[in-house]
Amino acid sequence: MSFFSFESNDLEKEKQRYLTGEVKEEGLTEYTWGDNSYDGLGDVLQERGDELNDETFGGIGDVGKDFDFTRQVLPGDVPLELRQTPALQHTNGLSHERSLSPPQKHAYLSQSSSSLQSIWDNKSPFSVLPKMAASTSRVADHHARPVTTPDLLSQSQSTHSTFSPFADSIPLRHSPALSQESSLPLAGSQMEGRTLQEIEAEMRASAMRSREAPQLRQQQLLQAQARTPPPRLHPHAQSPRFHQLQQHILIQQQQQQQQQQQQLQDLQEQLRVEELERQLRAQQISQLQQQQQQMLLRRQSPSGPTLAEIQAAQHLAQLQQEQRRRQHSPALDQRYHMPQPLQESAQFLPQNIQMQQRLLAELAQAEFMRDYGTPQTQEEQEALRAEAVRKIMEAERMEEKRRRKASKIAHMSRYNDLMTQSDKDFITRIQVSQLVTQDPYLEDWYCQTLSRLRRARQGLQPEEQRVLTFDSGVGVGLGMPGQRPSGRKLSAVQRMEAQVERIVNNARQREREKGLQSLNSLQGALGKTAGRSYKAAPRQLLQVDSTKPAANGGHTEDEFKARLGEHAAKEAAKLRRGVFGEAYDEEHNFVKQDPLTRLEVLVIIEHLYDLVLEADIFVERHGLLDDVEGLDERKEHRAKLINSMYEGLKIKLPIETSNPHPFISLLGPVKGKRLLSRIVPYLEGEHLLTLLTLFVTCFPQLDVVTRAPILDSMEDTPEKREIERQTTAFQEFVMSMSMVPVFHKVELRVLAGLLSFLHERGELVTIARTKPGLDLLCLFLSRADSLIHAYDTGPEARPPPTVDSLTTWRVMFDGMFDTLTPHILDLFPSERILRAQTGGTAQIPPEQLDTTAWQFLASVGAMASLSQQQTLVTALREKVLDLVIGVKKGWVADPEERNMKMKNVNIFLHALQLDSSQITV
Amino acid sequence: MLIFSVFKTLTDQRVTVELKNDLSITGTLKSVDQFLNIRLDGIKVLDEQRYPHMMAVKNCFIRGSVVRYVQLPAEHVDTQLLEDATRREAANQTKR
Amino acid sequence: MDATAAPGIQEPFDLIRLSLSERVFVKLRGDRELTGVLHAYDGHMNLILSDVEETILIVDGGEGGKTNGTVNLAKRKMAMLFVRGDGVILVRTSYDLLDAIDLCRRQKIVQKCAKLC
Repeated sequence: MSFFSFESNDLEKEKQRYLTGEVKEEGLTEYTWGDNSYDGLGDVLQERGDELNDETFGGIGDVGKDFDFTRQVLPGDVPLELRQTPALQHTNGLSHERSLSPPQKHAYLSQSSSSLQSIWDNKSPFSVLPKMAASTSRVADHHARPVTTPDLLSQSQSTHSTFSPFADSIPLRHSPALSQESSLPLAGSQMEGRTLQEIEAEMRASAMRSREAPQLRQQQLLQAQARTPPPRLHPHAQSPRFHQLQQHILIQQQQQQQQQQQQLQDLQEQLRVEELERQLRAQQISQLQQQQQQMLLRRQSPSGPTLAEIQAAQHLAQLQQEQRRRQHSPALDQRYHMPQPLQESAQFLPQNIQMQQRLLAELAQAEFMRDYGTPQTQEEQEALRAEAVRKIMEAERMEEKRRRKASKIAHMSRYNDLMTQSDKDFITRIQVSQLVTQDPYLEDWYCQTLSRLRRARQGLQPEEQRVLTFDSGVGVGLGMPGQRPSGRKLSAVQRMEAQVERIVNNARQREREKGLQSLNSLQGALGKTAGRSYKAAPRQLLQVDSTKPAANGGHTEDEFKARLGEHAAKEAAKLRRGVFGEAYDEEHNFVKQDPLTRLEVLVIIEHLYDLVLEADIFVERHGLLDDVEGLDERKEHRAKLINSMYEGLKIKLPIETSNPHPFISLLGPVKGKRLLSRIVPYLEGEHLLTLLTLFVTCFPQLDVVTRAPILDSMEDTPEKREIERQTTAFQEFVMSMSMVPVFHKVELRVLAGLLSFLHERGELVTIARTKPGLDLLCLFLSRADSLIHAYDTGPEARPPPTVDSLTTWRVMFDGMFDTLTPHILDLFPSERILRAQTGGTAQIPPEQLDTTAWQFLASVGAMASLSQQQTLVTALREKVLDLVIGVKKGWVADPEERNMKMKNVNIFLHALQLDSSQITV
Repeated sequence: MLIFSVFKTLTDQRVTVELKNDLSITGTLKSVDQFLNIRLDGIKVLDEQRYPHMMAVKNCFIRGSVVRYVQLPAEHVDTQLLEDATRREAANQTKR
Repeated sequence: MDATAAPGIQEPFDLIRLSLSERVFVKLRGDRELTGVLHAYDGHMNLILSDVEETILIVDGGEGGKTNGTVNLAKRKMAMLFVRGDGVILVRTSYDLLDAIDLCRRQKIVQKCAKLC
């Protein structure tokens, strides 16, 4: 609001501080009063007349006696204002109403402005201030003639009312009580100081002078007005919008002028009434004053004032007070504070403040003048006039400056309102859209996808609130209630366990169907299961013919190969040829390569991820291929993408390309393992078969297999931890998420063929000593089991396996069984660890490690023939008894460990239709 | 925007924000913006002896630039998805 | 398609991308080092790591230029950590430098072979 960044409060405060003498004058020049408007003129001011400062400001304590309330009582003085105001109104005309207010102010001011010299030379803050802000009022000021003091009093009153916070709203209510209080002693003291004659003479002189003044002043004011057009009408304003605004302002002005006109008419009416009143009052007062004169005369006599005299004086003072207020007509006051039209309003406040400051300065000046009389000799007046001319020039310079400033503002303001609110909104939207894209899947993909996944996991509608919008997305969370931690990992392990469990359960069911005789055949196999009288160790009842297994299946490789049916051999060869094509047959017709370096692996993996993501996005966008248009194109694109992924996996490279095979190298890093699970869903038919064959064939090359022995240790090394991490990832992403689905599509004869690969290479035992290997073998058995017994009753149920393939599988299974049985204890990690620990304090490996082995053995047991089962039992008898006895005798302290042991034993025993409860200790 | 996206999924989770002046504050993540400014509720300062003036503070707004680490609840971060998101972002960056 | 021949490394961030879900070593301001599995990064080098081990180098004493202050290592582990990028000095990817050299060497050989053929 404040154009010159003045704060009226501050000024008020400042004034207060000066009045109380808190602030020394020296500080003045340093105070800039708002950098914008300060023109530095204060610094070049002549610093003269300091010796009077003390008189002016110092001994202020007894202010009262300095005020002369009696002077303006003169009738000649009273109508001055009244005469002046209507005159102004008439000459200026109503159309100039707006510009009327400053001149009126000046009329007020200049009446009271006293010796210019003293004003300009006075260093008091109140005289310095007005020089700093340029305004039209200044011009008027400097044309002012030397004015005598009387009007000051009325001025001081108006000053008072302007300062008062209530002045604007209730100028008339200016508390009578207060004014009475203040005026009473003043009046009294005044009367002491002068004679009535003196006063009258002074007032007449001042009235004469002031009568001459107004016309001149008014002319000058009008000139000043013409020189400075209102800033908003500045010719620089060219923008069409600006013109619109101007028109708008003009309309507003017209409205205002109409209002003002109305007010003015009222005002004139009021003033006329007031004038009459005043004349009446003036008569009264002059009467009173005559009384007073008599009183004063009497007072010079030794006797003090009588009560009547005092009362009379009081009455007089009261009346004077009243009159002053009347002079300062309420209507005028109202006019004075009339709302300023738009662009003036900015200057309104500082002007007002200026006014206040000037009035104060003049007040101080008047004090001085009165105390020391008006010293104006002819010379002094000449000097004063010369000085005045100089001041006028100066003021004009400042006026020029102000105009430049105003034009500059106008120049800048021509761009005002070039943009509508909607333009601005549009730009805001553009800016915000830089931060938040409309496509939340691009920038906020993680958040959006995760929340969708979570919703899906919670069984909520996946479509509901699928995409968080712009509004709610910024800085706002999704607030998913009750999130389930890592659901995927759990399911991976659970799925593996479920496989084994299913095999075992199936086996049990079959046994039940077959009848009791087969169950009986193993009864007591683990020792005597009943009879409390035997307190000794369980007696071995089972007489296992150690030669029997050998008779059933070949122990040696040669024997196995001899017994390997024609079918299996044929299948294996056919499979290999089918999978690897010509390259495999012509074994030397390929480039033998170095294995991929880790960097190469990573680069290839990242490239593949790009493809996967592209495919994901493609499917996301065109998931349903039922849109006929461009269907072929999309199919083609999809096929191309899939082919790229397939090629990228290096599956087609011959097995012997390198060791490890590039594909196996790609499965090295965790993200490679993960990648496989991302690609497999895209692959179909032939690709999957090739993948599976390569995977099984090159299985021993996998890092998790080759480095598995490191896990057979109780030491905790970073390397071991890393392998554990890899193994977990392998189990989750490769076995559970990639291979289980692949195995699900494989026929029995392929299974047999694949198993024969492993066997041929003599790597069965190596593989079986690793967790991933056991997992793989479990997969074989599980798939075979469901094929043989036709549990696969899905929509893609296949015809039951042919007799040929059944026979082949049987041969392969027997082969595997015979190969592994001699090393059966080696399958248990705990056994391997215990064997490796030589001397020292042996640590007992946790039972959990053995779970996979037990699960595998359970699978084997379920599929094994009767004699094979007996072999199994014989081989594992001690191990089983160890565990059961350990648990039942309470040697195992940890309840969890106990549970785990029982669970492991039982999963195996259940496959054989036995239970740990059958074992008595 | 990737990290912002991640933090959005972690709202209402307990996180520990470590500032560059070694002050560690544990609290419930209430909101985050693209500058990774963080608002925490129900905060607890790790080393209260050292920062007694923080004892009465129950929630706070942390300017993103003063953060050194934020310890996240691992179970609420889907690392696989996160890596995919990172790859997507990287691909988008290179496309531009 | 042949990613081996065209390693697709055009800018530094491509190297960091190779380390996604790999264990990386991160050097930070204030004598701090981290190792952890990288899960996310962005253009500001903001990182999200899991299975993090932080090592802080604390030099006690040794004031006034004397270098006989004792060096202490403080270590701690964090399951999942967001690292603000402005503190990161370097990210060392997990594959061996030798690997990279090896790749370059082999690429040269391949190029030579191609010329010969």
